[in-house]
Amino acid sequence: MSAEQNIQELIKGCLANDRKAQEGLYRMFYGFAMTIALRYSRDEMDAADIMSHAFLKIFKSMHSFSPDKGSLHAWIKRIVINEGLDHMNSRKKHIETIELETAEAPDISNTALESMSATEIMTMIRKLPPATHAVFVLYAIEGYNHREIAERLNISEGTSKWHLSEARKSLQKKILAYST
Amino acid sequence: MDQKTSYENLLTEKLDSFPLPDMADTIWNRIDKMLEVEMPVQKDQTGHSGKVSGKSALYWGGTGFIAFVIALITLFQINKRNNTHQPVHQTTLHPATNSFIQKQDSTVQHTDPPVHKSQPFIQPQSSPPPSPARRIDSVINSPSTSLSIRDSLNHINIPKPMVITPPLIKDTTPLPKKSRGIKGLTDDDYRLAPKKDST
Repeated sequence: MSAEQNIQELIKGCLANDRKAQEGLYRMFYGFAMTIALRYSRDEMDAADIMSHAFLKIFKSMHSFSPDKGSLHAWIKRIVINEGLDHMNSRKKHIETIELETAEAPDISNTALESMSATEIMTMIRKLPPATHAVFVLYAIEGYNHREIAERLNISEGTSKWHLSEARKSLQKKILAYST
Repeated sequence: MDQKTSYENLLTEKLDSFPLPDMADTIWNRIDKMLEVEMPVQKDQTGHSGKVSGKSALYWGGTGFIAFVIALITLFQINKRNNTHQPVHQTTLHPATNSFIQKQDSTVQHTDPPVHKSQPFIQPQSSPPPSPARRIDSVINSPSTSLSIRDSLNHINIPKPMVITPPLIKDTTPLPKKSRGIKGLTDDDYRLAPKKDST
């Protein structure tokens, strides 16, 4: 049975509320979803919270998935990101409303970054304030533009650009401190 | 429009190789508990959802039926074994069974269920009458069979086994001609043809 056929069988089982099919789908997408969840979490426990809520949402709304609209990967990614953002929203106290026309892009040495491990980079990003953290991940890693980020976080595009600038400045300082 | 910087591209590559925590089982247990509350499964005997309960009922029904048939066959075998050890006293061949026997296959050892149309051949006092085919086998094999029964059996027109012989393959090769007369003579020698005068 091919991977595509396997996924189709699992989707059918999930629609029938079959636990084995649901577990099968979860384990198949565990790595993919966890990679995304970790970007929006402070630690592994946070990521586990995001994962459990995201998959519950996935199974409850499986009937709304349509292969014509996109792939299952893209659909699951959207749900995990949304759950990650909701999780971050619950932690932040307020969102800065400073507007910027253009996000600043300080120069950061790629050499210094290459010498850092993935764990060190993740630790650096997690230390950013929640809103700044969310904007940076959505923009720099997930590839969303400021209009999409503004819609999702219910902020203006200017505020999104400000948060991105703040994230870049903060990371530049941390990377420079690491390299020296 | 802001563009992604080169170091952000590098950050993305690095984060893709971030080691994943081994929490798959822990997280699934949590999801399972949440699903039990939000989307409970209608459990039946097999623990599957209600939608497949019909299939499981069919499965168990079929298994029960097969078990019942096996039990019947086992009981039948036990009865047969018990009847072979029972002493057979003087009995006479029932005429109805005689016709039944004629219709039977030569191989009396078969496992068909008893034919209820014919009357029992042997009327044992305590046990129920077994099938005619089996009765014959048990009677013949019993050491205490009386002479009268043997005589009766001799009169039974048990059809002889059908021996199917393969069709004769005709030999088309001609038979060698038998030599006749005196050796050395040919047919021409016997021809009555006038000979020409030599003069």
